[in-house]
Amino acid sequence: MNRFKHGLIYLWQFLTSRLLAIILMAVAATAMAIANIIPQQGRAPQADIAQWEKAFPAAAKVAKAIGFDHLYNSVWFYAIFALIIASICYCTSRRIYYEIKEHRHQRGLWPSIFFHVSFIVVFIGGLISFQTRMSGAIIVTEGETYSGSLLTINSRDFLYQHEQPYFFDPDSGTAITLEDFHINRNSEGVIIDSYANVIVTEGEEIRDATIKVNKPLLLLSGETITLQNYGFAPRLSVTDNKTNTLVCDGFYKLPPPANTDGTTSFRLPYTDITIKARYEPVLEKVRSKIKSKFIPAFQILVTDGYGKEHIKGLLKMGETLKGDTISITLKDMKYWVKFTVVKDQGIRIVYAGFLLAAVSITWRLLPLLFRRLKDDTA
Amino acid sequence: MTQLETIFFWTTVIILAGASSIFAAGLAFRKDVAIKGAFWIVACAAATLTIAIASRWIATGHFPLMDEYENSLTAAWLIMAIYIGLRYKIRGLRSLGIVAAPISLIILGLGVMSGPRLSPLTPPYKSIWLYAHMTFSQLTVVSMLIAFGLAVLYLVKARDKQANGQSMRLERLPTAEVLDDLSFRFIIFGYITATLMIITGAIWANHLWGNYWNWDPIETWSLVTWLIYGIYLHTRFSYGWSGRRASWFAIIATISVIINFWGIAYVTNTFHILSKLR
Repeated sequence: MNRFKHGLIYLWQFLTSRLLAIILMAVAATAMAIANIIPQQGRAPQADIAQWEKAFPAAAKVAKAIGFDHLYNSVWFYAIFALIIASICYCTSRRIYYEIKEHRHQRGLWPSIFFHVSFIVVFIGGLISFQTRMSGAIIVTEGETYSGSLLTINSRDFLYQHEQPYFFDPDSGTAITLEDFHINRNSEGVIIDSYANVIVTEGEEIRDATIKVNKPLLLLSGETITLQNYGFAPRLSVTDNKTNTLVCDGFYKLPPPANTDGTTSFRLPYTDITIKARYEPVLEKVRSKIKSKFIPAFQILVTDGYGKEHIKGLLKMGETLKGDTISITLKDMKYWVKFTVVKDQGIRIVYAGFLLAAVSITWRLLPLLFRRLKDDTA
Repeated sequence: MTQLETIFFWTTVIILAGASSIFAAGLAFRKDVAIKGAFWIVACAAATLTIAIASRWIATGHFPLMDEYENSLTAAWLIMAIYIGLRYKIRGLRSLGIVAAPISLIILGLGVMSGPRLSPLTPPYKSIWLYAHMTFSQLTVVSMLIAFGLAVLYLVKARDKQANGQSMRLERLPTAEVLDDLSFRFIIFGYITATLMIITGAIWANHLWGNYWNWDPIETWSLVTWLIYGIYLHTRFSYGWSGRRASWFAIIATISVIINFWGIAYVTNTFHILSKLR
């Protein structure tokens, strides 16, 4: 009985020791280090996962069996962090208890306690984020309004985005109108600035706002809107050369990668005409070298259903390219913009934890840098 | 690279290579004059690198902190500046150039191999949080590398002392106790900056992507590194580790820093290839 009791005491001492906290930290670090090498389900591209499984079939099986292929969604991984937090809670409260009871006045105790408490705060914030975070995309073309209702969403827009649309709370009366989108390039064509001017309607309040990369917009309802991506919607007009009749005329929202100056291909509706397009703006001669004006233009290749080439060349704004049977004109161009909308109730708690961590770690460790060296007579 | 930058960059590399050799020779043959001279050569390297950094800053219109090459410039400069500063603050540290000069040289070499190119700031870079993040990451890597060098020197010095009772060849170096203490201090400083690096990076990510933590490989590896150095501090504070054991720990932990800053980007897909951001 005595041995059993001693065993229990020893176990309790181990479970509440700093050694366990250190072991758990080492386990968490090792798990993350291993998971960094293994392509993670739902995060890495499917091709990478297939390649990994093909190259290391045995390792892939083991990784799958113990959850290393989806570590950041596995229960045991979060359980380790929960145990670390439990250990911190116990060790910290014990330190506070002895400090108050025995008046030890240990140097650096309070900043150390605050630093450890900051993990608990960040962990709680992270947990709230994990449980309640809502995010999605909204795609709006210049001049259009997105109100987030099911009826107003063009599902085709989201087919190539692999992202769910974001629905605003219907009672909030929230709507975003994209007035215009601007891209500033330098003389070498490198994008140096991009921003979207929007009108935000929230119930009865209407306001103008600008959303930039790195400068998200915060709505009254708590959502944050960040500028994620953009693309082109050229207005193309195709006419039949023989009959001189209009084949089609409209704005065509080009899917990526046209937004990253890559080539994209699309088919004109109700025709067998396929257009391959790559955005290639033409530099207009201006004096300033810092900001140059670019005229929208597309490098295009028009083919029919049989793959026969009809038109090939650079189509500038307002110009027409004539082929053997059809002609194509670039009449106008609009941008479409993809915004990411996030509602995260844990973020403020996480930030509070960050602030506490930053202050307390500096308070705890910085004085140690200015002590006298152990032996400065060298 | 601009022409001026190229000239001064390669001048720095040559000077640092010379300084490293002179430091090694000075310590090996116990020549004080050589060590003193090498110190001033490192100071010259710092000056020429300053000109290279300034010319790049003028050419690109932003402080060079945004790609691997630019980071190597600032990291090497920081190491030299810290070394020169320490030399004036604490006596007997001139010979630590044997750590500072070769590490700076290696960092510059790694940087120039990454293919430097002049580019202006694209929109994702235009954030005060990113500047803070990059600055803290530079301070972290520099501190941890210096701590690594000091830990190696500690082991060499301690071993030498153990072997014949007095360290003849390495007597120009500070005592083993000072080396151990300095290594610990650099890790303390690096830990503070690593914490701030993770925090500012998370805030920047939230502004850019609307998510403060994405489990991105480099992001995750920075947490791994932070945990490893957290364990180091616990062993020192709670279990009284110092000297040999602490030095070995510091040396092994540096592997994680090297993977974090130079390795992981080549192995997996990461958001942290900043040149890919648009």
